[in-house]
Amino acid sequence: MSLLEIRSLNAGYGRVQILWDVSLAVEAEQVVALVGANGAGKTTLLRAISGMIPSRSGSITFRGREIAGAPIENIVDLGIAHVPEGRRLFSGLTVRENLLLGGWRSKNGDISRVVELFPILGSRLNQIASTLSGGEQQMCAIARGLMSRPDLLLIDELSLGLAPKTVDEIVARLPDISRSGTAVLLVEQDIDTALTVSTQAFVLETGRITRSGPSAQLLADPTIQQAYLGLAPG
Amino acid sequence: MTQFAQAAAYGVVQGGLLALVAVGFSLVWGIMNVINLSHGAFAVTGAYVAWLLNQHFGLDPFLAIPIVAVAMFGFGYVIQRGLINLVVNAPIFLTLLLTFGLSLVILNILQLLFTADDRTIDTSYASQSFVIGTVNVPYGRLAAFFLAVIITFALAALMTRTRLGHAIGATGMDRGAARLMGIRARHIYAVTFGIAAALAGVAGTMIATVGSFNPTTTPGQLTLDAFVISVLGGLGNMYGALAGGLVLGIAESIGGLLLTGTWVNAIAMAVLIATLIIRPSGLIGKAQYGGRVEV
Ligand SMILES: Nc1ncnc2c1ncn2[C@@H]1O[C@H](COP(=O)(O)OP(=O)(O)O)[C@@H](O)[C@H]1O
Ligand SMILES: [Mg+2]
Repeated sequence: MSLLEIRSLNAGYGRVQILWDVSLAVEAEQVVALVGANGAGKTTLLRAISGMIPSRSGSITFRGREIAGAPIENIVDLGIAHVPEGRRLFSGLTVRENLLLGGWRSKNGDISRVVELFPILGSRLNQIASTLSGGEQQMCAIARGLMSRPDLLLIDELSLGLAPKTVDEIVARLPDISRSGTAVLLVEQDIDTALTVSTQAFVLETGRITRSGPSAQLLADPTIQQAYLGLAPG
Repeated sequence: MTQFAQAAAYGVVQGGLLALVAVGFSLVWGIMNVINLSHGAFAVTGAYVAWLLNQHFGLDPFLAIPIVAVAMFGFGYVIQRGLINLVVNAPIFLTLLLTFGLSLVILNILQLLFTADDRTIDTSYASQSFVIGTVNVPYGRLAAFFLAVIITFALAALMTRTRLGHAIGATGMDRGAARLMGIRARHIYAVTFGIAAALAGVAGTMIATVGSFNPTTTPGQLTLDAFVISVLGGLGNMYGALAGGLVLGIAESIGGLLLTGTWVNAIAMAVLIATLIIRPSGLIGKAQYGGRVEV
């Protein structure tokens, strides 16, 4: 049984359907990539998983339990944390306060583990979150998500607006996170990065999963290279 | 000159009470973007609770405060959970309509129960006072003023120093992100609304002790004052509400010397318009609850 298993999911906003018959699985303690062009529906899929939007039909099971239609807070309780697109830190609060709010539900007030993961945050604890650099903000957002000690971490557009070096630095922590017991579902437009760090990958195109498989295999696939990596077929 | 000093002193005390009415109004506006037109009705409801306790049990209004606060917190919580939550995401026009309607219902019930008569809570110390220079300061008013200031600071401390306060602030900044932390936004909204109602009730009790109230003119006046003070002080800004309350209290009090009768009511509007022209972000500025993001 997979940690997260989505079967034939249909979802969208109001009357507009965005996701069509989406199926996807994430195994425990793995990094899985969900890639696709802008507007493909990646964010929408993460929102459906974390309960921010309702699903119309299909099933989402997490550790064997059906979670489609459950309230967001209960899904957090079950062990899914969602690092939303654009980070969405609580901008007027300090880094420490942001982290502590991440542990709101589990009443986890121990920030040492996440600070160990991103040591730079340790020296920024009393700084107002909105004054952090982009990379630090992303670290803070991921650390905030980890504060609930989830089994699955959903990260939406990790690399958005960050310098390549910063992206590498943060991405390098993902295997540590997964190995310590938190699987990662990483949404990325930067397909090269996503396929390199993950073991399994899914390609979303206009709301449908069109490809999936081991990341190394997709990375080597000429059609993927052509469509997403801008490389000439060869 | 004495006359002005006396009016200023009176204005400061009155301003403290108005600030206590306004902090909750400002908090609700800043956190959930709801302009609660029934806020004045909440204050008057609290005043009636204290008045009843005084009439039937001879309870001192200052001792009645905890009871009023708890009762009004519960009332506010339920109203938010059951009613206002329905329109929290709706266009502002709908929330105005709903809270205005709620105000009418509350005030009509109060009027049926208690008539439209002016009421006041009499205390033995109401007429006792001391003199500074040429200014007469009643003890009751002074106590009410200090209580209002203390409660305002306590609320500010709650918001900036406690886990609950941070959760309230976070929900105000970005409800969707707060929910992703597992923060129950509906509950947090209801708690926020409950706090606002409790503070309004306490302020109403104080107003009933140092002056008088009725269910017809008092609520509207208080809601208007709370609105003006919130704009003046910056939305959701507790200290701003305190400063705004003092400014408005003094302005109305001194204006009362210079203007006759109903013209005093125009002072609040004049202060509002002046604020919007000169400093639309308020005296101290909006608290950090801005930039609401949906989903
Ligand atoms: N809050 C929303 N309300 C309505 N439509 C939305 C909303 N968010 C996204 N969409 C639409 O859903 C589609 C997929 O968007 P999204 O899931 O954000 O794609 P991606 O994350 O892959 O770039 C787009 O057509 C977008 O316009
Ligand atoms: Mg997206």
